[in-house]
Amino acid sequence: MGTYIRRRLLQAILVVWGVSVLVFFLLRLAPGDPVLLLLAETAEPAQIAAARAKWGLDKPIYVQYGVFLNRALHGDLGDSLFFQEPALGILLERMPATLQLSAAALLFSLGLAIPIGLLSALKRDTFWDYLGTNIAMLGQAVPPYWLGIMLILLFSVNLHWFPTSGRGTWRHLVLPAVTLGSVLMALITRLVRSGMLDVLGEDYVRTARAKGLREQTVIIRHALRNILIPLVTVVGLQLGALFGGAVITESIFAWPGVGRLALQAISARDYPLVQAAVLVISVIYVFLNLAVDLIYVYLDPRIRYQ
Amino acid sequence: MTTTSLQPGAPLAAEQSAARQDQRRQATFVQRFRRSRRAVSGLLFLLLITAITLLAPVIAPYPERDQNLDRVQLPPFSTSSEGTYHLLGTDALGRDLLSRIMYGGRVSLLVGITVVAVAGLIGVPLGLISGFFGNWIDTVIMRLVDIQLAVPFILLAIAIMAVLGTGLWNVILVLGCSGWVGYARIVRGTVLSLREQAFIEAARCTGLSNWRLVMRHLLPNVWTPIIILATQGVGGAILAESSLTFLGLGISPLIPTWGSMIADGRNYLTTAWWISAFPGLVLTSTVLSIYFLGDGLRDVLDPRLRL
Repeated sequence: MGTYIRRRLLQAILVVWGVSVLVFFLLRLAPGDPVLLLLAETAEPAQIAAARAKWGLDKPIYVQYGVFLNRALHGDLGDSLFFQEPALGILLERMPATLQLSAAALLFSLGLAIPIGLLSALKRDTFWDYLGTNIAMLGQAVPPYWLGIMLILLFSVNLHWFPTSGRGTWRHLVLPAVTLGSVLMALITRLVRSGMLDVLGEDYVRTARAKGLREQTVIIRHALRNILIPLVTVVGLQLGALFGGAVITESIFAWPGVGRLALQAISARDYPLVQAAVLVISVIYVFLNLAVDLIYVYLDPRIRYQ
Repeated sequence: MTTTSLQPGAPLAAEQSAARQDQRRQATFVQRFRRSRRAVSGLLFLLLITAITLLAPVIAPYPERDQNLDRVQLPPFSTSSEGTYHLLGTDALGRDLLSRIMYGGRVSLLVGITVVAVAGLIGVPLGLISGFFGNWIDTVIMRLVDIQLAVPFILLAIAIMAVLGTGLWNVILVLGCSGWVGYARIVRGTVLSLREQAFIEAARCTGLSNWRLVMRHLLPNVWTPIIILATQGVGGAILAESSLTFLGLGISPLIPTWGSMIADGRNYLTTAWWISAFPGLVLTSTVLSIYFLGDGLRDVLDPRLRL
């Protein structure tokens, strides 16, 4: 077990390092000079050179990477060119908003997907199953940004139930959470349905029924519990996609989170901020996956790692 | 096919029965496919959309770029002061929405298909190599997969598009190069389970080269998951392209696309809801029909597969 954790930890670190290389070199190869974008058009050549030297942009690219990596290991991801503040600080400041939105989206998708998936599986090949699977497929086919716009159109512009944008009360949270959670909802619905269909045919479910347990107990205690593992896997893997989806959702609803910040940083060619954003999100994602792998052992005693 | 030299008469009989079996399998394929209402409706809708977009220059009521400030933001089913009829209304520049939707589909379908082709051409060989040779090659390729999966796809795509600049081919390149992972993983997984089976062992014993072993015996057995994944991949690529274009990082706004039309309409939600609504509706229906088709194919080809 200890060896397994160590090996997975090493792999995770390797992956994070790979991401840092990928992001660093990719953004440096970009056309467009960040110094020229930031300084006034009237800047003298001497001023430009001074700014370049100040940000270390005058050194060879591998030296820049070395400096970047060394500082990153000490928790310094550089200063944002635009905000003139430490990039990590700006990110962490926006992180609660994104976490709140992601958590709400996750709750929405689980809260809707588990009942729909259960109903579909239990009433297989009926109208309800057909409806449930169609909702799931629709959730995967709707572009989230369009869903967001249509929700704004219906619930904000026409019905005035929820505000169109911004963060504040719980009302601000509803539409972005539904928008962001729609894809995950669809995935989980399908997973719960197919998982339940498999499990319901198992001997232990028949045994549980034969014992005379109430159907409710059979479903929840004996069947639903067994689809927890694939559920945790998918949720863990999809959290990364959730962060990614936050880029679009946050910019539609002007939600002041990391995703919107990342998009703004990319269009402003704010290299340090983009790097920091992608790195931080990737680190969170990689370690979430690690956590998911380790949670397995507790969820399913049958799994034993050597 | 590898045991043919034992009896002179045997191969013919074996081939005949194989051909008959093939025929029977094909018949059941079509029958089973036709029984899936979703798959059939998906296929029909897709054919319709493809036909409409291909024939856009012939059947579109107006040129897709015709601006006319006398007929801006006309609602659906309206006739302009000049007597032109607009089934789905017009946008903020007075362009006919129906015509633009017809043309916009061309980009979506082109991107969807080429992205899958690029992703498959990268992912399938890498998956075959990874699964077949194992060892350090497998480790390297799977680490690459991990790295790619560690960065949220849309964030990576946005970053690359910001670097490369907007444009049709850049979108295809970015989406294709990030989509290979799925193919590599599923092909590798299938190859790993096939590698230990008796028929591969037998083929190896006949002294086949690695190349022929992979091409003749492994590849035919991984087609099913590839076909299903590719079908769904077309839908995913169409969605991804439209998202990038919506953010202004995909295809140039000069070319009508469903993503850019939805983005256009965003600023007129209070006055002209139809500008965003209709392209999105068509986009969703198209992607949905692709998913229906993919689901139907899976049910027919390999119901046990989870994708």
